[in-house]
Amino acid sequence: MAYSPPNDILEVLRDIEYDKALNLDDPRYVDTREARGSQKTLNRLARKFGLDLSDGRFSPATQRHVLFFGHTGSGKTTELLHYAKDLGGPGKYLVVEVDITDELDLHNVQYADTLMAMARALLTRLEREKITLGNDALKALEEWFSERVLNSEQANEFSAEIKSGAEVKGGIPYLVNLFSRFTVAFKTNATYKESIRKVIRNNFAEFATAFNRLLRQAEDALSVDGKAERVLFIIDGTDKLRGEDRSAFFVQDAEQLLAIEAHVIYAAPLSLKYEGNLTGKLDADLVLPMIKLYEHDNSPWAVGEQAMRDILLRRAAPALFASDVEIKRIVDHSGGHPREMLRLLKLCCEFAESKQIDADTVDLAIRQLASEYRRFLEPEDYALLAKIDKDPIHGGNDERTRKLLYNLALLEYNDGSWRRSHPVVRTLEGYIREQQAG
Amino acid sequence: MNHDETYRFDQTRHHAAIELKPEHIPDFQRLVKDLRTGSRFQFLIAEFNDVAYRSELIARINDVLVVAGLCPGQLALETHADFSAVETDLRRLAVDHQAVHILGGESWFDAVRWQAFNVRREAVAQGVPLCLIFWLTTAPISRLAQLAPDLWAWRGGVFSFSTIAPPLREAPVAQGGPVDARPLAERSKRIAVLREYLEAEPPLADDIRLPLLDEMAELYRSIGQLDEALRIRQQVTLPVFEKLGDVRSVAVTQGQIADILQARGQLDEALRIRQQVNLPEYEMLGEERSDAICQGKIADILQARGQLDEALRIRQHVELPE
Repeated sequence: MAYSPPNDILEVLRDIEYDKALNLDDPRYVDTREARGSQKTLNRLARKFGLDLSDGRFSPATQRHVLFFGHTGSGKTTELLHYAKDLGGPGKYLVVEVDITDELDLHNVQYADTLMAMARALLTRLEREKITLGNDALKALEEWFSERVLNSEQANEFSAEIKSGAEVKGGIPYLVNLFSRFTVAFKTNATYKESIRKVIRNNFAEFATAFNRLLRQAEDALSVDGKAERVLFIIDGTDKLRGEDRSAFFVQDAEQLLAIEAHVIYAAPLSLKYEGNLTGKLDADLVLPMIKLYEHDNSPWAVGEQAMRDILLRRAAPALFASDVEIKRIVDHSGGHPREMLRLLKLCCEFAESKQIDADTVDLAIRQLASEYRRFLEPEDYALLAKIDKDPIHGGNDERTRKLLYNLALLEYNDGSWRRSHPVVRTLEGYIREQQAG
Repeated sequence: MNHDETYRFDQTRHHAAIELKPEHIPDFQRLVKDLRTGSRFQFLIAEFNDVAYRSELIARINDVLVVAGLCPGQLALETHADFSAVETDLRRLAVDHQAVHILGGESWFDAVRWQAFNVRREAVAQGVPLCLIFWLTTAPISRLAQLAPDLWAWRGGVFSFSTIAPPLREAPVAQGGPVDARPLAERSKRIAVLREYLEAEPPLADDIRLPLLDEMAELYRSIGQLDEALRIRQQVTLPVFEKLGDVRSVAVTQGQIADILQARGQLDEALRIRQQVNLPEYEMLGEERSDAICQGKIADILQARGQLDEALRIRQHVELPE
């Protein structure tokens, strides 16, 4: 049956969930590539991995580690899921998705944990694809396990548990089982976690060699079976790492990530891009663009507006809006940020006391969202935002600017070529005063 | 959504909001709507600065939730060593609750604990299918937004119930007419505005107070709160009109009291007032139209009691000719 959006305000309210990305087959998904200009982003991403999407030519480098930046809630996960469809398949990549928010304990994630999760995801996927590997493909990893982990004194409790519990003694199922135990321990077992990490750190070079050998042989087998030429990991959730964990993962331990000769996309928070301390070996120039509603000269961008309207009207039937004016105001005040538009829609549903969303309701929603920004904005923030709006091609990356980008008071468009304050912030008195003073 | 259930829920939430401060009614309505209708996990922030008022709010929210078939719970943070202990308790509460008020956050949360919540947020959302209402004062809310912006970006809503003493307001002008077309939400908010103004010190002069009381009683009647409407008419406005010797207003108020009694099914008492109090008063005042309306209402009561002959006689010989 064809999808039709809810035409009851309470049903719209019920279905708004910020914490969930849309699945590939979700009828509420709207292709926003043209509106974001992100077909260009996908093409660039594909080329970074040696794939020309226009003619299918494929000549990948040995390895590539690419950071994929974007605003919080801008749709990175959803877009990556859709990109995976274009990047995967025969003659291209076998895409292996690893969501560390599911696999690991986001509190205190380290490179060792992530690499174990990647190994497990790869082996599970190979098993699912019924890829047969030669014994020597797994031998190095099995040896690394038995010699470095299972015989290690530091991890003896963990080893004893594994030895007693392992039913299968070889092949992919055995390794899947072992890596699963690693990730479970990293997620839930505070006792083993540090000792296992220490073992991995101390024997990392051997692990990297063994993992790389597995990867190469897996890729050879995939190619022979005509399923793919190379393996591409998409690591989602790394944009949610906080504070020290984020620095450790992307900065201090980047060399360890790079020791794995793989093709990897990591989701990354936009503010990291401007901190300026990333290693040059991590590819860090790709941003998921926001959906722009206006060009930087303020001329309307109809494609962007249409995409945002489509997103809105797949969440709420047009009949729920008193007129088209209300739809346009909600879209305009979202700044092209899908989650912010959903927030406005949710507020409208909360405020509405009739069966329709009218002008007064939209006003209330905009005022409420603006008041939530006022809670944390400081007088200097308004001054900076007004200054940036006057000169949108503003190159500043100081701490205040990064903070404003992080908390969405400042939005970035066209791969970061220009920025503008969030439209609801522009309704606040502090901003208006600064704008008039300037 | 079941239409009847939604109607009952709307009635309950608007009635529950009447006793609140008028400026908080929209946020109260939004919050209870979210709790009843929104997604199963929600991270909600409620701002307060008066503990007694917060308790009153929680009681009212819970009343509405219970009517909606939801079970609310409460969790005090001060007894928890860290966020992990909080999470454990929330998982326990999730078994038989749908919403939990989380108290004490203004002193319990520091940067480390906000971060701990932040890093566990996905796990909490997945494992704790609850609407979490964090009651916080203003400063900790700002700190949350600054210290954990990505957790802040996850908020399901911010609801303000701060009770800052409002500046002196102008007296509200009595509104409404014979037919009050205002929606229920507007009427309940208006009751709150009037109640707050009427309760303010020093007491208002009678000529300002009485029209507002009249409007409030009529609003209560219109939303089905007949007891409160009757109390205002009988115990507040009627004695004032009697003291002032305002015979006409006494007659009108008696008629309004009879209307309420009639609506409550107390037909004998309503009939007694109309026949023994209203009619003589209108005759004395020479108000023929009011007299005719009163006769019509007497006929309504008689008809309802099955005294059809007498009701017909009044309609044909008294009501029609006038």
